[in-house]
Amino acid sequence: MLEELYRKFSEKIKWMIIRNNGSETDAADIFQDALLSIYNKAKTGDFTLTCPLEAFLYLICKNRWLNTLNKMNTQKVTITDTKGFDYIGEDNFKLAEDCVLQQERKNLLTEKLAEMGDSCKEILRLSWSGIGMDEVAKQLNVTYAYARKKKSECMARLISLVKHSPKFNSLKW
Amino acid sequence: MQDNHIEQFENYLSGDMLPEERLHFEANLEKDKELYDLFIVYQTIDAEMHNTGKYSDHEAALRSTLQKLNVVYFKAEASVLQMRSSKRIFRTVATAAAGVILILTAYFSFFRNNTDPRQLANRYVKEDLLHLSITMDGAKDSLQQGIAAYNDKAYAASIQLFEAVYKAHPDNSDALKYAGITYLVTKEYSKALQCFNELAAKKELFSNPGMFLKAVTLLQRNQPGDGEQARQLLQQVINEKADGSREAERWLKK
Repeated sequence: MLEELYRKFSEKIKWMIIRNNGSETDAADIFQDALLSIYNKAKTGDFTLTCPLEAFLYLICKNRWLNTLNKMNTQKVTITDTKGFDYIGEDNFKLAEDCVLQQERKNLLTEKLAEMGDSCKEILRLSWSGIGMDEVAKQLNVTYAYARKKKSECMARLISLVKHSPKFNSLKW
Repeated sequence: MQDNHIEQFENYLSGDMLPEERLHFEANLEKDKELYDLFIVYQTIDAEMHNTGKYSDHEAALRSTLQKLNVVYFKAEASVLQMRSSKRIFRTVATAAAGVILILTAYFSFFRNNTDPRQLANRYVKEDLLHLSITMDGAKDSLQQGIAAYNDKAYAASIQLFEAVYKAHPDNSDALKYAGITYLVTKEYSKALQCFNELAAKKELFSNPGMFLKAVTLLQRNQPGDGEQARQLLQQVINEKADGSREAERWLKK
């Protein structure tokens, strides 16, 4: 299934990005990120696609690449190669925008988490793994109260790092 | 940032607050915009990372597969560097070629005089109306989708979209213009003329290419009397300095 997506659509995405000041490496990153963003959006259960996958994937890649260009302060790009945009529908435009924003928020969170200390990373990872804080405390061999306090401190630190990023305001939290 | 805000959020979301504490917290959220924004960021992070944690093994496997496929379907960085270098050469060659094309175009524009308005209109339709402008960040509504379909030569789809937009918004003269252009390029001249007549009648528009496009359509249709009527329209476009007057002036000089 994934290979088929690459076989069918990677050339077109490559072509769109290279024609708009990008490289093949950029195209590979954008294509991979687009597929991950669809996967991540689908995981939330809030994902109903009502247009061809090709058009949706192209739209996500285009939005991601536009955001990248804007961050690099490149001039606005005009695209005339818009095959597949007919019949795409407003709801799918919105869905694509949500996918891109969600993935970009996730990328920023991953980047900021990597800047944190090991103890914070561990307690946050465990608390997000689906187990209760009492179990987190047990696994870390600390008291429940300490685990809760520590998790709050770590979340406050993570939020502060994220809010200080120049990307923060554009990601519609 | 105060850690106790985060503790409050956690207590609130985990249901560990007493009813009166909840009410007090909710009232604070309503009146304190900064607190509310912080709460939204907290919720978003917590929801997104919970999902990530839950499916982390799946995501790792997916990333690994995608990276392998990237190697197969996209070139490695070394090749990209080579390609960038090739792109530079290509750009140099393209720049030179563009210069040559520019000189040739200028030559033909200024020195070639064996064309009549009909041939010029024909060239106008084939070159100037080949693509309608669309921007990356503007492609969000039906009109832009129609433009995209037009540029993709999906004329049946584009006409449906333009007509639907115009029906819903009769003040949207662009939709009417694009519908007319689509009929023109698909050689449905009588429908194109209907659109351009209607467009030309919109006197309230600051910029109105209706009359000029009607002349182009007549030149394309080329039925008895069309040429003369088109010449009269082009002259009127020039006199009124309407949209298309520069082309009209150039065409009538030939």
